[in-house]
Amino acid sequence: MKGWTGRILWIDLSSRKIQIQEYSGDFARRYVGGRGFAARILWDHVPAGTDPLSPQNLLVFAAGPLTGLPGPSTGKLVVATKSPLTHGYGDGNIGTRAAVGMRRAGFDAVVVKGRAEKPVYLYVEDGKAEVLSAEDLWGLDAFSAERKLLEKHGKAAGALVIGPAGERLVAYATVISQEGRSGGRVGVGAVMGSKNLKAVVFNGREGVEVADEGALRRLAADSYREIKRRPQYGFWMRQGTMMTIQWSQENSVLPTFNFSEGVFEESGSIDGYAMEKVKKGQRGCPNCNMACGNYVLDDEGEVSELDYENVAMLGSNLGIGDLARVARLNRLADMWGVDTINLGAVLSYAVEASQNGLLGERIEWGDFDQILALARDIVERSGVGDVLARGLLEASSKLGGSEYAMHVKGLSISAYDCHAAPGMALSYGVSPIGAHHKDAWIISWEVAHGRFEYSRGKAARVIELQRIRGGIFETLVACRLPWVEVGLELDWYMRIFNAVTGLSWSLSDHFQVADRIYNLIRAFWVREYTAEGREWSRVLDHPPAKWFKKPLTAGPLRGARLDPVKYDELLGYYYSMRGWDFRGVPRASTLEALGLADVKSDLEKYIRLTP
Amino acid sequence: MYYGYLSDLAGTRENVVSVRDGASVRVRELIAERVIKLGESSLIILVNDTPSTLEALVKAGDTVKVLPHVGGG
Repeated sequence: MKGWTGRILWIDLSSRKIQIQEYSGDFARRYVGGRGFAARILWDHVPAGTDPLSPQNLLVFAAGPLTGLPGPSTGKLVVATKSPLTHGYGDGNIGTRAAVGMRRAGFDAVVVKGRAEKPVYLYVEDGKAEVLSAEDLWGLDAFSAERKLLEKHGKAAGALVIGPAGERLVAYATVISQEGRSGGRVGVGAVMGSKNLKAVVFNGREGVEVADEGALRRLAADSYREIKRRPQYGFWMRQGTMMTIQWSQENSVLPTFNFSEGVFEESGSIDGYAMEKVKKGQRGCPNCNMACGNYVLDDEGEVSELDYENVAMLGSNLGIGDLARVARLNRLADMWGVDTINLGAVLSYAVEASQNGLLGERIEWGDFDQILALARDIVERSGVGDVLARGLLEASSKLGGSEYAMHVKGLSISAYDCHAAPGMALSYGVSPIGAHHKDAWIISWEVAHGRFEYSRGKAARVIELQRIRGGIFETLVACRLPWVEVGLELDWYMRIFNAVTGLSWSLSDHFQVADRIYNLIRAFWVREYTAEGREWSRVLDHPPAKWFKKPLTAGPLRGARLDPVKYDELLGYYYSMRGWDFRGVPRASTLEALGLADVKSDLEKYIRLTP
Repeated sequence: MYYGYLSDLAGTRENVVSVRDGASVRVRELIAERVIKLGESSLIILVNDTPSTLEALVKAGDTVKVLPHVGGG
């Protein structure tokens, strides 16, 4: 088996037992890596109905066959678990030296179960693992904890750490690396916290054996050169994803005032051009030549790494038009180890709830001091912050205002308003982790191709994007941005994959793996919902009520809103093309055709399947 | 008006074009050649902030915005 190390490291923190599993080539070819490995491991080893914060839940760190090898933006890792925020499948993708370190240490994945009695961290080096005390790290913010770990294990080590939010089980706590990288917005950080696991650190010096080293080196060098030749490259290197603020404003999709509007009057104060004026530099993930981590100094003079999602969610969506203050909120969120997207959505829900009299005290849009105080309360789990720390689904069921709790299946919407974007709303609705743009960022295509339509073509496009973004890039594991932002063709990835593995796969082979994984993940959701005594239904794939009921009141598209009947029809087209029944549950025949007969048999114990 | 990297290709973020009163011009004729060369599938055209095409006719006083497809993460 070339390209894969063929080994998965298992650690039980309760018993301190460490095992190395050698997996088969068949497993590698059926699930490829990253999300594929994670989904199958969680399906097989998390008992149905497990409490996500219990020792029985698993934490999976999974690389793919491209991870850490020469090639465009391959310094990435998937972190996955049964989500404490959604109680369904959850994963995230993080760029980090830990990705390279894990592969060089000889593992394609690390799986953690159990719970340590006292705070610990996991140290993995060249095929060996140790569980070490983290009592001196517990309570530290993520940046300080990582610095201490790198002082001890060397600057070349890769570390994944949690901050106070993970320790206090904030349901959307993330894993942090390199002081600004954050992954696992479904609450992977909280699961680490529940296991008393402060960090995972990798040091590796071994290489991964590949099928054709010469071809890989040539393809890598050529693809890096190709990226730099693209006309988008210069602008990308100046603004990165921050250019999307202006783009979203012009297309009326910039989330504003808790997704009530798609335009923000002060967008020019927080957009890419505003950022360029105060930009201090940029940072990237390993193996990347289009670094997107633009950093500025915030209003306290501290470094803050900005991108579109965190500036939109902590800026326009809260009515804050001051980039230096948005940068402070963003930097604090990273230090606390909490997801900026969920945090922005929860805070904006709280502002709207306060204005509807649900919180006692009234908070105004853009009131930075009150918003910051509320954010601190969430991380400290103080007062109403304790309820808000549980996420939008649970908070709105306790406090009220569910019609403006902007989430799907518990995971907050990321930074695109969908009043006039039914395809993007579908993408959020059927995303495999709850509302997120990662899998099918259709909105750019949609605004140019009949944005008010609810067509079969749109459903088909969502599936195509899911196969590429959520399938290929999440299994290889490599960053999708060279393909998305400068148009590096998918063929480069196919050729690199084949050089690494010695296989002769085409796009359709990767698409079949993607479909297998999507169905496995959907089966996981249905199994967990059913095992927890909750009913699975197609309404779970609907976006929040606000977009149907409350039209835009500002901008060129004022009056626009989603049509609930047509949205449901669009969802039906998607189900039909996926081979899912009217409930959005995979048909028995679909699972069998994808080689998931064992999953079908297991799922039938929980729910009646349509043939 | 050009957005994102299209402003690099056009060499400007904004270009004012004179059109005779009462006359109309195709959007395609107003846009820098290096941008047009990318093809319509690479562009998002807004005329007076509403979705449009390269073949649309515009008159004096109209605003044409040309945006690229971006990923945003």
